[in-house]
Formats: sequence, structure tokens, C-alpha cells
Amino acid sequence: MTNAPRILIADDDPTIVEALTMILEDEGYEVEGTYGSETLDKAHTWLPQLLLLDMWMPGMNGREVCKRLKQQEQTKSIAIIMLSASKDAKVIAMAAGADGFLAKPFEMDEVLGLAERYTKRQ
Amino acid sequence: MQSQPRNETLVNDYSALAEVFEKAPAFMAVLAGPEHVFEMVNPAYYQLVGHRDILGKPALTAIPEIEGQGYIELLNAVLQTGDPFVGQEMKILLQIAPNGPLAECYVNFVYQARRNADGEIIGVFAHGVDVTDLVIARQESEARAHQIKQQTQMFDSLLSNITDFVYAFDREGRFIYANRSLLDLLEITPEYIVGKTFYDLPYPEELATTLHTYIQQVVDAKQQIVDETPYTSPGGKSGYYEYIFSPVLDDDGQVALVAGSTRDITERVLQARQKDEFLGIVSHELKTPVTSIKAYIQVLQKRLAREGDTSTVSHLAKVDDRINKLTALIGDLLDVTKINGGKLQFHEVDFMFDEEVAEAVEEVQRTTEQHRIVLDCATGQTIHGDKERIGQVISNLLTNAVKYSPQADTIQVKAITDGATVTLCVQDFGRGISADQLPHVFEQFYRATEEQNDAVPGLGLGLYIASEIIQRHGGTIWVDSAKGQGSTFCFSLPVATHQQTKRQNVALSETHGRIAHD
Repeated sequence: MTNAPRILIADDDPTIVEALTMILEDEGYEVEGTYGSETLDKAHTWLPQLLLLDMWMPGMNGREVCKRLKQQEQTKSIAIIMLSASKDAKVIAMAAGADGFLAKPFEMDEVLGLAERYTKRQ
Repeated sequence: MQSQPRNETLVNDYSALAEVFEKAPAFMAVLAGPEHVFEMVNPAYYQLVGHRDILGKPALTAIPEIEGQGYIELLNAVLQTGDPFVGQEMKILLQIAPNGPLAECYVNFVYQARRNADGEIIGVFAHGVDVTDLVIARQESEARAHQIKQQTQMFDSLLSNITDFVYAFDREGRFIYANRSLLDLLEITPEYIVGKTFYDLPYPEELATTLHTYIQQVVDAKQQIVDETPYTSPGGKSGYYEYIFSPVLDDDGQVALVAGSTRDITERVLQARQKDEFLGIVSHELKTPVTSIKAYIQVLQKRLAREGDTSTVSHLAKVDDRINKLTALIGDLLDVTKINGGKLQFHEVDFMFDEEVAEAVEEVQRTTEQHRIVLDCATGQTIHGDKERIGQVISNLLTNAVKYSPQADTIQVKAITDGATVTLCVQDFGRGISADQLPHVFEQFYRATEEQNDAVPGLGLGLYIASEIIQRHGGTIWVDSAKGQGSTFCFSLPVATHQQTKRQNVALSETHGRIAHD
């Protein structure tokens, strides 16, 4: 494990995970991808500073993942930004305890801004 | 000495009898000989046969219409055998008025043989009562009962052949009727359901309480109630049902009973749900590849910019711009589908109007290098509404201003407030809108018909969506424009009241996000 801030990306679309990984790695972040219910295990074992969490995933939806992580002592400090193609989903994300919301399709500059803010990188 | 008092007694007895004879409510006639000559008749008898001259005449002469009705034959038989005849509710046709029609009468009567001192039969004593009114009343009520039974059977068979449930309750919510469809669903007999309330039947307690309460409301308010509910029958049939309870008023305007009908709307509910789900899937499916494309383009832009390939970066910027337009179009289509389906939902919060305007201006300013958006917005007002949607309206007006003023370099944005409302106007200095097109710009799918080389791409949905959003927030939207003079689009919204702010604080603390596909 390096000292670089860790960002976990949970999305069932591998191209989204790949594109986000490329951008964020270029900026010096350590990035891993996952999706569905595996997100919970990965978050527990890897303990990222930030989770970019898609709201609609097969197996376990992002809202449920978000609620569970925010309920547990070890994972509640992980910042969670929820992603959805629905603008209306922002309210749902906030109700589930997410720290932020990003509508798909998103601007990479917005992602980078959020990454910087939530990983508290100097 | 002894015979005289006896005679006096006889005379007294006789006059007493005569009085009974005269005043008896029963009709009486004394007939003599084989011709049945009327020797005596009492007033009740005259009442029966009509006031005619019958004393001293044979029966057939006095009352000729009885010929062939069997009464002479009965008299003859009594005369011959000495056996009495008792008739019950026997019909007799009598011409009560001279030259009048034959009246149908019914009589209970007795024919008794009269004998002389030697025991020989000398005539017949006829007495009885006129039961015509009774019989006719009974016949009428029997006919009515029969008619009602027939009608009931007719309605029941009509109602049994329809798939809707039809039923009725008394004022206390007890079933008085249920058609075949409902009985089949509940798996009970018509005899069983009568007198039962919802609590006695296979309904979950919560639903039974709702339905029972509704019946009481219909009785109390004399008003119809319409609602729908999911329900699973004892046989395991699950569905959605829409029901109507209506008061049935009596002649005094009081609720006599409550009539109900229920329709199975399972199909409709499932179709609506499928449509919603389909929309969610379409939205997701369309936006997912767009999100990927956009993400890769931005990856490429960043990497190429690092390598100094500014030319390719600027090409990619154009692709990115088109993708943003495509995203906006998908969003518009979904919004219109939601509006048309009555499914456009607002998440209302209190927000600072000026901040939202500034944000939208900044966002749109980024998309144009040609135009300078001049902002004059310092209302200091708070709006209660859907922040994202109001922002969408402002962005839409700004984007239109950019799009429709390709030759101009300025867009003016000005907001004012009168304390109760805020008004925002977006003014461009472009081509303007002609007078005949002006009334239509907020209509769905309306696009200004321009010459081909002047056409601006779009679906003509943005202003329709904007006007829907503003109207649903209790505001108004309008436009001032003339051909070649530019356009000024304005909307006004009510500012937030203290009550709304309070409500919002409560609502926020109770928010349970309902998952909505988009």
C-alpha cells in the first residue's frame, strides 16, 4: 500500500471504471474497481478515502451499499459520492447518507474536484 | 197463559233476528223452491249484487248474469242432497250497476238447506261475506312480489354476468347483496354474505377497517368515495382493485343504502408500472453509453493536452459539446414523458434564488465564447421549490438566448422582486419571434419554422418543460418579442413563506428516499 489517497469505484459498467481509473491514476491516486455486493467487502478490506458509487448495480444497489457502509464503525468515515443517470436521484443519495452526488454523464473536472476535496490531499 | 208469553218471546226473538238480518255485515238471502225464488235479502246482499228488484223472483231471473257460473247448479245440489256447500274465495261476475260492466267479485259463503217442520227441504239459506277487496289486494301484492322477484332475478343475472364486482350495504355496512363475481372471488355463497360486514369476511383487518370507515363516510357525507387497493383473495388471486361506494338516497333524501362496484385494474397498474420501469431502463441504457463515451473523450483530452496536441484536443472538445447536447435531449424526452404521465416529481427545498441564477449563468457562459452574459440579480429572496428544476429552467432560457442570437454578443439577465414574487428576464438581441409564432412557443414539440439555412437544431421541448415546471411551482412564464428585435423570456415565482420553510425542516428530518428510476 502506497501513501497515495485511495479511491474505490463501484460501477457495473467496466468502461466507466476504466476511464475513471485512467484519469484518477494520472492524477496520482490509487484506484480500484468493483461492483454490486462485492463493494462492501472491498470497502472493508481496502478502506479507501473515497468511494464513487453507482446507484444502479445488479446484486446490490448503491443506496443499500451506502447505508450499510455509513452504519458501520470501520467504514463510516469513507466519503461516498453517488452516481446516477437520474438527476432526481440526488435526493435519494442524500437520504441514504451519501456525502455528494454526481449526475451521469459527468465532467471529469468535477470528478477531480470531488476527489481532491474528499481525500483531503494537500 | 203460558202460550202467550212464549209467543211474545218468539215475536221478540224474531224481531231480534230480523234486526241482525238487516244489520249484519254478512250478506244473507233466503231462497225458496226449485227456482230459488228470493224470499228475503238483507242490505249487505243488495250491496253485493247491486240494488235491483229481486224479491219474489227466481234467482236466474233476478240475477241473470250468474247463468253458467255454476251457482245455480250448487243451489240445486244443496236442494237435492241437503248437504251444505261452503265456498272459499269463489269468483262471481255480477252486473252491479244496471247496464254496467260485469264486476269480478269474490265471496266466502255457505249454502244451507232450509227444511220445514217435517224435515222436507224447502229452499236454501245463502250467507257469506264479500272478500273482493281482500282477494284483489292479495292478488296485487302477489303480482308485485312476483314482479319484484322477477326483476331481482333479472338484475342478479345481469350483474352475475359482468366481471366487475357489484354489491350493496345497509347503513351499518352489512352486505345486503353481492354479485356472482364477488362471491366467486371470496369463495362464499349469497346466503352467507348477507348481513356480514367486511370484518366477517376474508379481508385483512387494515383493509376491512378502511372499507368499513368509507361506508360510514358515504352514509354521513352522502358523497361518493373512489379509491383503489391491492387485494389477495382466499384462492390466492392477487390484484389491484378500484372501487366506488355511492350513497343511494330514499324519497326523503336520507341514505337508504350504499351501493358499490369494484373493477379489477391489475392490468392497468402493471402496465403503468412497466411503462415507468421501461422509462427507467431507457434512461439508464441511453445514458450509460453516453457516460462512457464522454468519460473516454475526457481521458483522451487530458492525455493529449499533456502531450501538447492542442489541435486534437479542440476536435475532442467539439465531440464533448455534442455529447452534452445529446444528454440534454435525452433528458428533455424523459421530462416530457414524465409530464405527460403526470410523473414529474419535485423535491422542494428552500434555496437562494440569486445563487441559483448565478450558477446557471456561470454554467452557460462556459459554453459560449461569443456572448457575454450580463447579470443583474440581487433580489436576496428565498424560493421554496425544486432547486435543480428551477436551475434547469434558467439554463434553458439562457441556452435558447445563446442559440437564437448567433450574431449578437450580449445577453442581459435581470431579476427583480416585489417582496411576494421574484421575476427573472433573459433578453437576447437575436432574430426574435414573429407575432404569429409568439403564442405557440410554450407548446409541446413547437419549433419556430425558419428557412432551412436558418434552422436551429432541437426538439422543441425545452420551453414546454420550462413552462410546466414554472406553472407547477405556482409561477408564470411569458415572452416579449418581435421579428428581428430579439426576445425577452421572463418568469416569476412566489417567494418562500415561513410556513414552507418550517415544513421543509420537518420534511427533511423525515426523508425516506424512494428509489425512482429516472
